[in-house]
Amino acid sequence: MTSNPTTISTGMPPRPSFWARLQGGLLALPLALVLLTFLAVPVGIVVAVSFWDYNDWEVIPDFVTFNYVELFTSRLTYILYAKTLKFAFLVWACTLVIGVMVAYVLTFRIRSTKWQIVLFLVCTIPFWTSNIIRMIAWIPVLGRHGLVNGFLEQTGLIGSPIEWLLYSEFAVILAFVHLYALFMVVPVFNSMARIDTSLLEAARDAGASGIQTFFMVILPLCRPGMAIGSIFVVALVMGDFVTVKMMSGGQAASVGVALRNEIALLQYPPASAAAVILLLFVLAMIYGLTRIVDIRKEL
Amino acid sequence: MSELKGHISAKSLTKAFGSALAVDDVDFTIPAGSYCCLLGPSGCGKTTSLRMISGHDTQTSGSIAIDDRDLGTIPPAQRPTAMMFQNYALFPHMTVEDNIAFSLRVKGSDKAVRRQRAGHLLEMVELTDFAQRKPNELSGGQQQRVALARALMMNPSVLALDEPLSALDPFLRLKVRAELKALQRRLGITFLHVTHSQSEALALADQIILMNSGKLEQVGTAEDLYHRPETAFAAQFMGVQNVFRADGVQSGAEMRIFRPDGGQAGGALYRAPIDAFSFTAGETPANAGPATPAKVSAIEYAGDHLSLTVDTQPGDVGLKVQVPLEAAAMNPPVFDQVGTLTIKPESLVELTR
Ligand SMILES: Nc1ncnc2c1ncn2[C@@H]1O[C@H](COP(=O)(O)OP(=O)(O)O)[C@@H](O)[C@H]1O
Ligand SMILES: [Mg+2]
Repeated sequence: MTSNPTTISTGMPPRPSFWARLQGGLLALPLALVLLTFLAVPVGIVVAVSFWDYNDWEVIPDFVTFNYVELFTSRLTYILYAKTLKFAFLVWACTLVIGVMVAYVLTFRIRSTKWQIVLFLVCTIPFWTSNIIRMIAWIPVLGRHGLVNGFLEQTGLIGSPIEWLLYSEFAVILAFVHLYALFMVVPVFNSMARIDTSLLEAARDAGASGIQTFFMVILPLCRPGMAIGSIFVVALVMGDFVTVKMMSGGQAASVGVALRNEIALLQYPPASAAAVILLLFVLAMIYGLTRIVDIRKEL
Repeated sequence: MSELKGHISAKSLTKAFGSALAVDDVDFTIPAGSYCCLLGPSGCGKTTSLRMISGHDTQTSGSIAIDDRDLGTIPPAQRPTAMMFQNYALFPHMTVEDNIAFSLRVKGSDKAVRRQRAGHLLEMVELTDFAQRKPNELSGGQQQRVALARALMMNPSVLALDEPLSALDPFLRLKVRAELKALQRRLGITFLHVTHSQSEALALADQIILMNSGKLEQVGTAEDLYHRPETAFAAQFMGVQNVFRADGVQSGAEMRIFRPDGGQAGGALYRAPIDAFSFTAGETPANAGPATPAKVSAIEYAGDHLSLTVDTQPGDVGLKVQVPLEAAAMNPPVFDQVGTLTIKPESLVELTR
C-alpha cells in the first residue's frame, strides 16, 4: 500500500489569540444584534403570546395551553396542513423540474459566458416587479375572456371558456411556480456550474449516453443545490397566504390563509400557536432534508 | 503475454481552434504494445493530439487509425481507447468501486459482474481495502490508481494518459512511473503518455514524439533524442546539448560563436553535447581545438559535477560546461572569471534547423 507522505495531517490549527477572538467577535456583533432584535425577540414574543388567553375584545397574559390543544384536536388543522402540503409538493415538483432544466441549459448548452449572464438576467425579469403585480398579471391571461381562453376559442379547440384556469387550485400552483421557480434555478445552477466538465468527458469516455451522464453524474452532483432550492420553495409556499387567497379567488384555504384570518379577527393567541406549530413543522422538514443531503458542501 | 495491441497511425493530423492551429499537419505511427511519450513544452498541442486520438476532440483534417481501423469521427466509447484525465476526473459522489465499474454500469452489466470485475481491478492497483471510500478520502497516489483502474476497465488497446504523474510529489512520481511501465509491459497494450518532462519521457518511453508549437519536432527512441537530436529545439529541450551558431570551428584558431536563433548574423548552426566543452581559467591552453574567450555567468552544483554557464566574449552566448568536482576543488570557478572555452571538434554536429 502506498502511503502518501504529503497527506499526513498537521493536526489542529493553533488556537487563535485573545485579540484575534475579540476581533472575530466584534465583526460578528452587528449581524448578531440585527438577528436578535428582528428575529429572536419577535419569535420569542410569538411563542409567549401563544400561551396567552383571549376573549372577543382583548388578549390576556396568562399561561394556558388550550390554544395548542384546540389546534391539535381540530380536524380543520389537519385538512389545512394536507392542503398546504399538497400545494408545497406540487410546486416543489414543478420548480424542481423547471429549475434543473433551466440550469442545465444555462450551464451546459450555452457556451459563452456572455449569453449565460444575459439569459440569467432574463430569468430574473419577473422580480423587477412586486409579487402582487406579478399575480395580477395572470388575470388577463387566465380569465374567462383572457388570452388563453380567447386563443383556444378562436382556434376552435374549445367551445366555451375553461373555468378552472383562474380562481382555482391550478391558478394557485401556476402562480407559485412562476413566483418561486427562480429560487430553485439559482442554487441548482450554482451547483451545476461547479461540475468539472472533465467529469462529463470521463463519463462519455466510459460509454455513457447523454441521458445516463445526466442521471448518473450531473443530477447527483446537484443534490446540494436542489436541496437548498427545495428549502426556499417549500418554506415560501408553506408560509404564503396572499397567493393562495388571490389566485384561488378566496376559494382555496391553506395554513397561511387560516392564520391570516385569525389575525384579522384579532385572535392573536391562537394565531401565535398556529404560527409556532407552522414554524416547527417547516423547521422539521428542513432538518429532514439536511439529513438526506449534505448542503454544507454548497455553502 | 498475449498479442500486442494498439498500433496507432496518424496522418496529416490537424486541429484548428478558430484561426490558431493547435496541432499542425502531424504524422506519426506508434507500434502496437509500446510505451509512447508525447513530449513538448506547455501549449504545444500534446493534450489536443491525445484528445483527438481518444475521440474527445474532432480533428479539423487528417485521419487516425488504430490497429488498421480508421476511426473517422466516431465517439470515444466506440474507440479502442480509454483516457486517464489530467486531474483524474473521478466521480466525487461515487465510491472507488462504483467509479471503477462505471463503464460496466452504463453498459447495463448486472451487479454481480460489476463487483467481480471491479474487484479484480482493485486487486491489480492494490486498492481492495479502499473499495467503499469516496475519492476525496484518498491520497493523490491512490486517486491516480483509481483513475487508472477505471480506464483499464474498458479493456482498451490504447490507454491515453494526460500528464498522469504531474499531480504527485516527486518521490511518489518515481515509484508510480515504474509501476506504469511494468503495467504496460504486462498488459501488452499501447500507453500514450503526455508529459512535458524530458526525464519522465526518457525513463519510460520506447518511443518519444517530440512536439513544438503544434508541429512534430522529432520522433525516435529515448536514445535518439538524447544523443542524436535532429533540430535545435530538440537539442535544447532535451537539455544535454549546447546549441549555437559558429564559424571558424575547423581551423582551430579563431572560433566565433553566435546565438542559435540567428539574431546575430553569421555562422552555421551546430550542436554538441555539453561534456564536449571545457572551460579553462586564464590563458588559452595550447592546441586544444576550437576555442573562444568566455566569462563565467552562473555556477550550479549538480551532485557529481559543477554546471557552469559561460558567456562567450564577444557575443554573450550562454553555453553550458561541466566541471568535474576534483578539477573544481583544485581550481574553483568564480563568477565573472574570464577564461577560454574549448570544444572537441569531432563532437560538433551541424544542424539544418
Ligand atoms: N478548447 C480550446 N479552445 C481554444 N484553444 C485551445 C483549446 N484547447 C487548446 N487550445 C490551444 O491549443 C494549444 C495547444 O493546447 P494543448 O493541446 O492543451 O497543449 P499542451 O497539452 O501541449 O499543453 C494551446 O495554444 C491552447 O491554448
Ligand atoms: Mg496539456
